[in-house]
Amino acid sequence: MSPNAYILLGLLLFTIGMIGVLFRRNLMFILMNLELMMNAVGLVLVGASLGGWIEGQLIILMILVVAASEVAIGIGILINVVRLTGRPDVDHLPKAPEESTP
Amino acid sequence: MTTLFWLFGVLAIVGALGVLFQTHPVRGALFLLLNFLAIGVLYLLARAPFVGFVQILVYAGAIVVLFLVAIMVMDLRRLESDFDLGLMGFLTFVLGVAFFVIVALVLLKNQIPEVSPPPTGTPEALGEWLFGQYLVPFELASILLLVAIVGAIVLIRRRRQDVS
Amino acid sequence: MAQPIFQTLWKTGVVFLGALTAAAYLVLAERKFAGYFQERYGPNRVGPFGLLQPLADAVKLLLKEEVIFPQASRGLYLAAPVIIGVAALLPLAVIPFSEHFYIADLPVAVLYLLAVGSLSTYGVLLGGWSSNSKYALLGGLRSAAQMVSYEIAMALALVGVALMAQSLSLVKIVQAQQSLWFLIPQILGFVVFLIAAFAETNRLPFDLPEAESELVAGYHTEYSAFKFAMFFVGEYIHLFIVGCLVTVLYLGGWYGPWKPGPHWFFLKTFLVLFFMIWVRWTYPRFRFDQLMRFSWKVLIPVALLNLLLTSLWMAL
Repeated sequence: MSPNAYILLGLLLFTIGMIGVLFRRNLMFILMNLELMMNAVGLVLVGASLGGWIEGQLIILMILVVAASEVAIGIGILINVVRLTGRPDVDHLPKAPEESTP
Repeated sequence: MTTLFWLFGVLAIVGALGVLFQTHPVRGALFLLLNFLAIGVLYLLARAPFVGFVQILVYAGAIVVLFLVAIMVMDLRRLESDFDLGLMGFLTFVLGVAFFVIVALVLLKNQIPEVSPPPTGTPEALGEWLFGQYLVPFELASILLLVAIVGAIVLIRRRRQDVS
Repeated sequence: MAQPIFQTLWKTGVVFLGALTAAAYLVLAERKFAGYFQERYGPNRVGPFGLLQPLADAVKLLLKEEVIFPQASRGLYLAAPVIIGVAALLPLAVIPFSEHFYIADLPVAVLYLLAVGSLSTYGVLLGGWSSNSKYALLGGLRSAAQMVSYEIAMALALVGVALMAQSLSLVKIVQAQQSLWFLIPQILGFVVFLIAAFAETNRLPFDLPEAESELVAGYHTEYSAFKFAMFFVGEYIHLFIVGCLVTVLYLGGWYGPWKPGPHWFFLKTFLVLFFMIWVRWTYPRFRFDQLMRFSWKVLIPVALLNLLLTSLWMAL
């Protein structure tokens, strides 16, 4: 396959993920859509490696590391949100405690 | 080769659309899994065997399992108003499609020629790059993982007064 | 790699049927040995020495009533046993049974094994969740945590082998052991791999996911008849594959004192499997917190030490 097919497919998946991040209210699904976007970038890079830039595949390994870290932290935040508000809704995030006025 | 590319490309798109529109968390995570597996196979088709199997190992073997376990442990259900159906939601779609069309047009104008034969991402080739020219990013990645481990533990830990 | 397609096809057929038969007779072997360990006979009614017992078991399982609970999440409930069965069979594609008999010689076979091995977690997790029952869910969650933790130790042990052989291809790994089996230079890695393998196959002393005295039957509590048979067969195919892998990675595959060939491979595999059955009927079960602590605080550090020593050895 030509590099362009991979890059276009990556672009399409990236767009779907981006729409998902903005369109959903469930924090869990927002995290999943972020993962979609990272994977889509991987497809673009693999397209670049078909075009001769083999380091693209190395960058995918780096993206993998970043994605794994991001999920660990993201789910940590999600668990705290659910603990504080009872549901993973980004429109009802816990408010910072108000400063007590003397 | 081309047939397989289209087959798994379509599967990846189906998975992505599933994540976008599914409201049930467990099913959403499974669509995510479908997308990851399809992309892993696409890597294999693009002469990237090492990256392809690492993709399946890390994403399918660890990340989606983490999502599923989190969903099951917290007993997450559907959210009654999961979609942003107002003006902002509509604008999201308009902007998304516009973004896709513009970038796709630019890409179609500047096509990248395929080199023949395309380089294969064998473990040996990648290892030489990784421990040669790209050593510093590699070490930085390991520090990032350490930071993520510590951060996750600090986030999840219950403070003593919460437990009682 | 470059073998004609029909050759791949008949090899696949032979390996598939062979693995299913091996799994069936492994069940019988386990019951027989369990009998002898406990000073009784084990199954001996069907056929001579009970040799037809697997057939009788299969007929029994197939003729039982198929139960699908109304509260179960139907699609996933049906998919879980299929995932287990398929994920258990996939590693067979790269195992070299002799110098020339293997389905495929992947250059990244070790990674393939790990990637495919991680997929069986889904069968367990989804089976537990979709049954909509607390015992099944608890079993599934425990199992997922256990499999993910022990997979890390297993992968680290495999890196040592790959370093020694300087290749990720299983055929090359066996060929590197022609003069010296990796059992000797990789003894730490061997122990770690074997312990992690017990955990990955969900066998005593790590059978927490099932733990019949606390969780009824773990993630497959709500399964019956053929669906249960899929879980059961998947488990024993997995066991058979672990036996093959220990042979390939540490015991020199098809090499032996005399003429190399598949007979050595199967003899060693049988001995490894006998050892695993022996352990199962000898040791009690871990507690769950002990199990997780053992993986993270003992097994993974030991595997890292092994990796360090191997790298030093290879660098000198």
